[in-house]
Amino acid sequence: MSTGAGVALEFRSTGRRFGAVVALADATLTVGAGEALLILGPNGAGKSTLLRLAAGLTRPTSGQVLVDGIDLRGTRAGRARAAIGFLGHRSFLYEHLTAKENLELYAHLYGVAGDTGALAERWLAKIGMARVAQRTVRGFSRGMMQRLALARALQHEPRLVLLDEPTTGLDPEGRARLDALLDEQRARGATLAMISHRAEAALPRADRVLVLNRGRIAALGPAAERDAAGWTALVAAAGTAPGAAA
Amino acid sequence: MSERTSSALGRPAAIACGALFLAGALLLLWGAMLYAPTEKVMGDVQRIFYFHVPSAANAMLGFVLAGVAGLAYLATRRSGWDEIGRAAVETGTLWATIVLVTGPIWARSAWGTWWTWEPRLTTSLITWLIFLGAMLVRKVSHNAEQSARLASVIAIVGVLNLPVVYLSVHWWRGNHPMIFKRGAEGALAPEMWTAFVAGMIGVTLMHVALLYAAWRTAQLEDAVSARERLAEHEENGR
Amino acid sequence: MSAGAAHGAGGVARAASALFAADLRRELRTGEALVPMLMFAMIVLVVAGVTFNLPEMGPDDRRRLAPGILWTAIAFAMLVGQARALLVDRDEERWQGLLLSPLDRTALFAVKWLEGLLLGLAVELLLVPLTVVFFDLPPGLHWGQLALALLLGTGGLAALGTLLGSLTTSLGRGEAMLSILVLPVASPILIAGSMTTAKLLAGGTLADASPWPAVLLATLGLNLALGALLFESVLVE
Repeated sequence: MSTGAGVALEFRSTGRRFGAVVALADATLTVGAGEALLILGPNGAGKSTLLRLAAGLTRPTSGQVLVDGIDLRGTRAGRARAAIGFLGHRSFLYEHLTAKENLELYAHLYGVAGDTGALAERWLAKIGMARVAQRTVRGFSRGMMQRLALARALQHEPRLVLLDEPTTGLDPEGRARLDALLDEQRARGATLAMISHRAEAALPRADRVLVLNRGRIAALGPAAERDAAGWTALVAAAGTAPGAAA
Repeated sequence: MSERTSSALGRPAAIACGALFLAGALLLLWGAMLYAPTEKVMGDVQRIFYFHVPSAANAMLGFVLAGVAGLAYLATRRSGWDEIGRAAVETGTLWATIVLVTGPIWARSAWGTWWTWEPRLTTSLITWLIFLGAMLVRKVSHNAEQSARLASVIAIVGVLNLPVVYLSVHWWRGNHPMIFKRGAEGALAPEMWTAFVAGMIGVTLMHVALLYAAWRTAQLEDAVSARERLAEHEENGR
Repeated sequence: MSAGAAHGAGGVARAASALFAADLRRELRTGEALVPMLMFAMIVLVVAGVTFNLPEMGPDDRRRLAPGILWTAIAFAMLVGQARALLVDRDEERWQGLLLSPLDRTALFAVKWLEGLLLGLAVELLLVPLTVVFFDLPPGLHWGQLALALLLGTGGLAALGTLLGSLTTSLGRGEAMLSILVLPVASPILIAGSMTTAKLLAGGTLADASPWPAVLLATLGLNLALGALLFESVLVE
C-alpha cells in the first residue's frame, strides 16, 4: 500500500561484483515511501548484498543507490545515512558499555536531539530490557543482543528501515515484540525492506515481495498475488531453474 | 563469468614476450660486457653499474605504476586495474631485489664492504620492504575484493611516501661521500654513456615483457578464482 | 527528535565526541590498549639497557644511543596499542555500525587518530622521564621543544597506525602485520624524530635540528591527508 508520497529507496541499474563474482547484477528497483518490501531468495541469491548496498555498507560497482533521492556515494551521503536504520547479522554493539550507554552512543552518532538518556530508557522498556539497562553488554545472550540491536537500529526513527533476518536469535516473546515494533514503524510511515527465510510469518506485513536469485531479480510483485506457500514455491523454483521469473 | 578465460599466455603473446625479454637482455649484455670499456680504477666490477642503475629505475617505474593502478582501482573498482597493480608490484619488487643484490656486490669490491648505508641503497631497502608488505597483504587476505582494495591502499601510501623517504634518507646521510654517482656522471666516457643507455633500454624491455606476463597471469588467476567462487556460490545456492 | 536528524556543524562535533567518550570509557574500564603499551615501552628500554651494556658506556655514547631507543620504544608501543584498540572494534562488526551512521568518515578517522595520538602521548609521559633516568641524561634541555617534536612525530605515527591498523584489522591481523606495514613507511618519521631528539639532548634547539622538525611536520601532514582520503576505501567493501 504505497502512499505515493515519494520514493524512499531506489536502485538504478545497480550492480555489485566481488572480483569476478556477480553478487547483484543490474538491479533496478524503487521502493515507495511507507511501503513494506519483503525480500526472499535462496542462500547466496544476493539478498544481503542488496540490503547492504541500500545501507551504504557496500559500494555498488555499477549504477547508483539513492535513499530519499540522495546518492549514497555522493557528498550528501551522510544526510541519507541518517535516514536509515539497519539491522544486519551482527549487533554493532560495544561490549564494555552498558545497554543504555550503547543506545545513547548511537543516538549521538545519529544526531538525535534532546534527552538521549530518556530515549534510551523508553526503548529499553519497549524491548523488555529495562532491568538490564545498567549492565554491560558483555555476557548478554544472542537474543538480548538482537533485541538491543533492534532498538539501536530504530531509536532514531529512521525513514528507511532495513532488516536482515531480524528474527534470528529471538524467542517467541522477542518475535512478538518485533512484530509490534514493525507495526509501529509502519504506523509512523517508515519504509521497510526486510529479508526473511520465513515467508509465512513475514508476508502479512508486506506490501510487495522481491524474489532474488543468483544476483538477479527473479520476481517482483504485490504480496497478495500469492499466498505464503505460493511465494515459497516460487523461491524454490528460482533456486533450481535460473531465470524462472513470474 | 569471465570473458577472458581463453588460454594461458597465448602462443603468439608468449613468443613475443620471450623475444622482447631476450632482446632486452642481449642489449644489456652487449652494452655492459662488450661495448663498455673497462673502468680504470674499479675494473670490470664497474660493469655491474649498467645493470644496477637501470634496475633501480625500473623498480621505481613498477612502484609508481602500482600506485597509479591502485588509485584507479579505488576510483573505479574494476579488477582490471588491480591486475595491473598486482603485476607492477611483483616486477617492481623483483627489480628492487636485483638492486639490493647487485649493490652489495659492487660495494664489496669498490668500498671493501658488503653494505653501506649509502642513501640510494638504503632507500631501495626501505622501498623493497614497503612493497613486500603489499604482497604479504595479498597472501593474507582470503577475499579477492578485499585483497585488491587493501593492496591498492598500501601501494598508494607507499608511493606517496617515497619522496619523503628518499629526501630524509639523503639528508640523514648528509654530506657523506657518494663515490661515483654524483661526481663521476660528468666524467663518464662517451662509450660508458652509450652502454648505460643501452642498459637502460635493455632492462626496460625486459621489464615490459615481464610486466605483460605477470599481468596476464593476474588476469588468469582472477578468472580461475572467479570460476571456483562461482561453483561454490552455486553449491550454496541449492 | 526528528527522524534521522542530519548533522549540522555542531552535530558532527557532538557525534565525534560521543564516540571518543565511549572509546575512552572502554579504555578506562579495561586498559586494554594503554597497559600493554606501557609495559612494552618499558621492556624495550630495559632490553636496550642490558643488551647495549649501558653501565659500561660513557655519557657521550649513552646520549648518542638514547634517541634511537626512545623512538624505537615509541614506535613499537604505538603499534601494540593501535593494533589493540582497532582490533577490538572488529567484534560485533562495530566498524560497520560506525560506517552506517551519518558520522562523516573523515571525522571517524580524526577521532581514531586522536585516540592513537593520546595513547602515544600518555606512554611518552612515562617513557621520556624514564629514558632520561635510565640513560643518565643531562636533565637541562628544552623540554617544551622536545614535547613539540614528540607531538609531531607521534601524530604522524598515529596517522599511519590508524589507516594501516584499520586495514590489518579488517584482515583480522594484529601487531606483527601492522609493524610490517607501518615501520618501513614510517622510516622518515623515525629518522627525523631521532635526529631532532639527538640535537635537543645535546642542548640544542629545534632550529638547530633543521631540517628534521620540518620533516616531522611534513610527514604528519602527508599521512593525515592520506588517512583522511583512504580511510573509507579501507573500510567500505
